[in-house]
Amino acid sequence: MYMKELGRMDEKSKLFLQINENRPAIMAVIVAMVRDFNVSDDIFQDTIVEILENAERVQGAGNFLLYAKGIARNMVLRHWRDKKKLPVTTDQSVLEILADAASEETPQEAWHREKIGLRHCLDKLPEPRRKLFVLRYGRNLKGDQLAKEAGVNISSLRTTLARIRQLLRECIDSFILRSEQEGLAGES
Amino acid sequence: MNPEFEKLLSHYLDDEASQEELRKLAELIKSENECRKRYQEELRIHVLLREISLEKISSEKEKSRDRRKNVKANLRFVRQTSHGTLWWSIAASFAVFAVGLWFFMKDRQLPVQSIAILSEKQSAVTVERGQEIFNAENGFFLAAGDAVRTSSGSSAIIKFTDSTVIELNASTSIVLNPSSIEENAEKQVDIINGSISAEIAKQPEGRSMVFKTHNAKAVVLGTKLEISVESEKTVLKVREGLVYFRLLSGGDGYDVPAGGMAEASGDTIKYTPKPLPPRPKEEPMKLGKEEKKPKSKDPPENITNKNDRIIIEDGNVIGKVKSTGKDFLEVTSINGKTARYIPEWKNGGYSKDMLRTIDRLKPGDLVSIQWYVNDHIRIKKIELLSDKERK
Repeated sequence: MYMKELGRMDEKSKLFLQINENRPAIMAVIVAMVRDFNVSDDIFQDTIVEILENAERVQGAGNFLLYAKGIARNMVLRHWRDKKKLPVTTDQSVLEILADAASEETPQEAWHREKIGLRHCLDKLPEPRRKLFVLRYGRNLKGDQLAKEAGVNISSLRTTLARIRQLLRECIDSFILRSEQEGLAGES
Repeated sequence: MNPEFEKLLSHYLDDEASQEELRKLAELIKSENECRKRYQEELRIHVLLREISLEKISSEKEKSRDRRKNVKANLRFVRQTSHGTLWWSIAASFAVFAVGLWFFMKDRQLPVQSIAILSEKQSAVTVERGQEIFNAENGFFLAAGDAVRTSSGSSAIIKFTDSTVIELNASTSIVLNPSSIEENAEKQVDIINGSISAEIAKQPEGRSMVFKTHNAKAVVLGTKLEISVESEKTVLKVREGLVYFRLLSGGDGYDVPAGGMAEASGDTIKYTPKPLPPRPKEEPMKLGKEEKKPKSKDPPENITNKNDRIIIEDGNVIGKVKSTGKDFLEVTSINGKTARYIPEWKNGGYSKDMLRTIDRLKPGDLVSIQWYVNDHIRIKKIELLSDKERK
């Protein structure tokens, strides 16, 4: 049923589906350059429009994700140009390095696995810590405002966030390892 | 792992890295493979955390709405699309169903409880619903929770079931707040960025339309307005009616009448009332024998409006004070009509400044009154035109 629908879809809808599937990877390039999530969301939006307006060129380019990431980078630069406001880092080479590293290809499967692992690990966090993360990442709060809303001391905020991120990383790694072992055991 | 790199990475992810820290971070990413790998890992988690957090917020809102409320809201939607008669209701329901089915088949749009419809879009407009993104065409049914975005150079109009119309200008993002379909809830539109113009149909008592930005809130019962959102401020311009405008952080707000403008920035609201028309003459006027009468508009005689938040008319009258009371003023205009004017309602009582002004006036004084009518004829501003004579 789904495949039939896919077959019937026009080219733009297919592109939409591709954008949707690769959303985190494209978003990573934008976030790497601008860091603020709300600004990143806006630029991602402009990226979608740009991709759709150049649908033929995108389809002819072969590697969709590579092309989409390139457009995302250009959209970040255009955003700053339009706003006539350069980011804190005016050094273009710094941005290039961060964007280059973020653009390197990661298999879609890795994104998928990590996302499942992250969901699992976030649910295991104690409520105050989970709340802190939802405020930071869902509501895009930072610094004083985040500390105030989450009821955390501003002086310990940075270390708390870093510690939770480290815990999550360890949890995800062990979750993926366990899933792989279970998968192997299932196969044998 | 390099502890300095970990610290820099942490600052970077918290969006608190200085220029120097960013430079060091970039150098390490470029020169050390291990750092590059760590950066990529953490950036992936960073982006995924954002995605999952947004999913969580969205699903918590979904859970908070129980099925019963949805059914009631559905019934309300059908009632609102009808205009009183059963046949209109049936015909409208069929039309909505048929158009909806067509669009559903065309764009694979999920069946939703629609609260509005997209129309007259120019260029690309996208709608984000949960994790899905739609390239929205005219006629796209919008549901509570949808984020509608116009790109640079595009625009769109959103029509609600109660005839409220919102026009999205270029590079604008709004969210139709999910609470909008809850029973007795306000209809809320969150303006994330950009600018909108709106014509709001008269809203049911107690269910105002609310526009919320990052720092301000505009509460409307029926009016025409414009709101533009910038990174540090929100600007409201009221074309018709009356809008209550306040900071999200709280404090007193302002009733901004037609022609008025308010700007929320930081912890303050800068309120600019409607600019007054130029003063008719520098000299004291002589009524009766002059060649030309200055422009003067009398307020309506019969006021049927009972809602003090809706301004039905406004104007500027010139006339002589007939009598004054503790909290009113009777003026006979140069057109010969007499009307009673009362001060604006501010902070739970009549405007104290205006009461003091009325107290100083004497019968026979020539005044220019800027007035508006909600449930009474209210004084916005008084100018004494014959003060030289009094002196």
